[in-house]
Amino acid sequence: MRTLVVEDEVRLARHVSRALTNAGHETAVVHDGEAALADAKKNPYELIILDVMLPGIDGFEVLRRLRKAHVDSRVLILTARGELNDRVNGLAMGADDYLAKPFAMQELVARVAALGRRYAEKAPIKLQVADLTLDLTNNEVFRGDRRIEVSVRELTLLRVLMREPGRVFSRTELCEKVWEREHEYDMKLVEVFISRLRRKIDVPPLIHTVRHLGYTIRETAP
Amino acid sequence: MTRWPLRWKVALYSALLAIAATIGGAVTTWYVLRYHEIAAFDQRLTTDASEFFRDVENFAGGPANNRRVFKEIFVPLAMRDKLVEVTDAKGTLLYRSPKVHTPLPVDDVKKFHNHIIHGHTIRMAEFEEGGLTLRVGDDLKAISQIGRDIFMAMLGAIPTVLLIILIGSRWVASRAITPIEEIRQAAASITAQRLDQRLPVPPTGDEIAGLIEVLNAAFDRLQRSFEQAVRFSAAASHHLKTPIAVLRAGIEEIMSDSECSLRTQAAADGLLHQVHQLNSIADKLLLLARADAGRLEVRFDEFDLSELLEGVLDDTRALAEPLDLAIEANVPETLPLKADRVYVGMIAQNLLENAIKYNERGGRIKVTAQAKNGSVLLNVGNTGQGIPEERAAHLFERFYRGRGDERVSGSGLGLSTARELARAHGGDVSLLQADSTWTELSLSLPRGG
Repeated sequence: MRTLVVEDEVRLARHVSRALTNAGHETAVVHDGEAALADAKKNPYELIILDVMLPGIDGFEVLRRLRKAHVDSRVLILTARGELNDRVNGLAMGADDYLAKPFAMQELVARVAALGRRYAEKAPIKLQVADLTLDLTNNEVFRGDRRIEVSVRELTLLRVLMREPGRVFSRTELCEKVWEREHEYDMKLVEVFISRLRRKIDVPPLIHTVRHLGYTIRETAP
Repeated sequence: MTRWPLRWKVALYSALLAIAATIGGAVTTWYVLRYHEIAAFDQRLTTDASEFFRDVENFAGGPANNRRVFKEIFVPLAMRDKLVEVTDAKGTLLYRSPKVHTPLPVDDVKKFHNHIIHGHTIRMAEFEEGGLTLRVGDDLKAISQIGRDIFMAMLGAIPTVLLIILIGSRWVASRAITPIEEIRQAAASITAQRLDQRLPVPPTGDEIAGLIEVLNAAFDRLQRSFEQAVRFSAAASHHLKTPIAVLRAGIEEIMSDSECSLRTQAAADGLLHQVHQLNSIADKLLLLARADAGRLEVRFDEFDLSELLEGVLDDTRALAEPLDLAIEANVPETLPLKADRVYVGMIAQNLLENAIKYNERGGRIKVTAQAKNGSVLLNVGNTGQGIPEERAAHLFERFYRGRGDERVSGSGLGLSTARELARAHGGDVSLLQADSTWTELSLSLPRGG
């Protein structure tokens, strides 16, 4: 996807651009609002990643002028403020998505991929790893024929792991994904819930510890 | 001390001053009058004496003759009503008027002098001429009467004076205070949302106008610093969040590098966790900055508090496991609430974190949620050492940590943030109990937002 990154912090722009390039997107970078307007009107970008706080014209104003000039590229707003009204503002002005700084690069790449899809993928109804199933419609968990009672957090943790079997999640990442808001909870919390889940579902083991790194769910040990 | 309205104070003081002035005036008048009356009195006595001596001389038909027998007839009629004694050069009494019941004092009666005789103030003088000594005195009754009259007149005047001064000065004070009352009302209407309001400066150019100018200048400064604070929270957000975003992106790039060793990846994950902590602190500081600036934005959503608490309690049980804490939860099946879900989550998490942090091994935590009189209440109690009174007073202050030991981690931002968030909803977080056995905090939120 042809993508324009508008971000005045040069290093952050470089990281974003590199991550998107690695994910197979064609990326250009500008550092201020005027350049963004000029570039976006000239070149048909499919996606513009737009920072709100820009020197000169700010991100919201860039978005307003782009829409006025009938530039219909998709727009993903980046904001440092993280206040809800920024999001409401941005979406009301015709942005397609919104991400608060500091964001996980994987999250950005995933959002970009989602914006690239013409139609939203149909969400799966049932997640399965070996004989462990999680029914997303009624949140029931089965190991083979045995029904397993899980708590709220255990369920969310299991869902995150089972959506991407084989992928290694760091504790930090799980903390952020399961508890959503960044908080000061001890990372031990992740370990506690992993061990609880293991006790409930893990014979033979499905959740594996990858030394120094984190956890993954898959059928056989690596 | 009771607070008296200024206008009544002015009236009262004026009246007291008026009374003092009346008394002062009366006393002065009395002294001046008395002085002149006594001078006239003395003059009369002197005139009487010289008349007496002239008469004695006339009767003798020549210079006074000692050998002549003194007769009552020599004494003028006008003098016989007074106290009179006449003696010759040897001190032999020649005449005594009928009013004199005891001999008149002889010593120190050279010049005019007051004597108390039979309870009456008598003014006396002694004159000598041609071998005769005349001692004459009279009652000062008439002059004392003037003093009493003045005193009575004053007593009669005081209530009238008092009333006039009281009413008059209250009216004057009211008029003087009216602009101050206007200033008070105008100043009260200047709030964080309407800081651009200013007090109207009257065209009088008097002290009140000067005061208003000074106040307006103070409001200008206040508005400037307030606006700076608002701008700061937006700018600080950008300045803090951008480098954190760069840090995070950089660390994640290291971690996603396939050539990176596992050890490096683990170290990078540790750094990433620190970045999260940093971000969390920045979030809270910005939240407080916004709260201070009165710009805390609360997004009211309908949600189920019971559902939210289920997750938080789940975490609490997990975190409390190593401490062997018994957790008792009285949460209804559903508890609909209209509030900011994210903020309420932060408050609930905060209260429960504290209940674990300040607990003791084998202790208890009790969580009660209920709807009551249009409010939703969440009470979180725990066993533990409790909070000493002097510390309880500082519990909701920023960066204040309940105990001095470093065993307990955290930024200390917690309870102050929780309270600010609750208050932004129109609710509050308060300390219900803090003794050596039980500590209980309560969150109350209006149920309908």
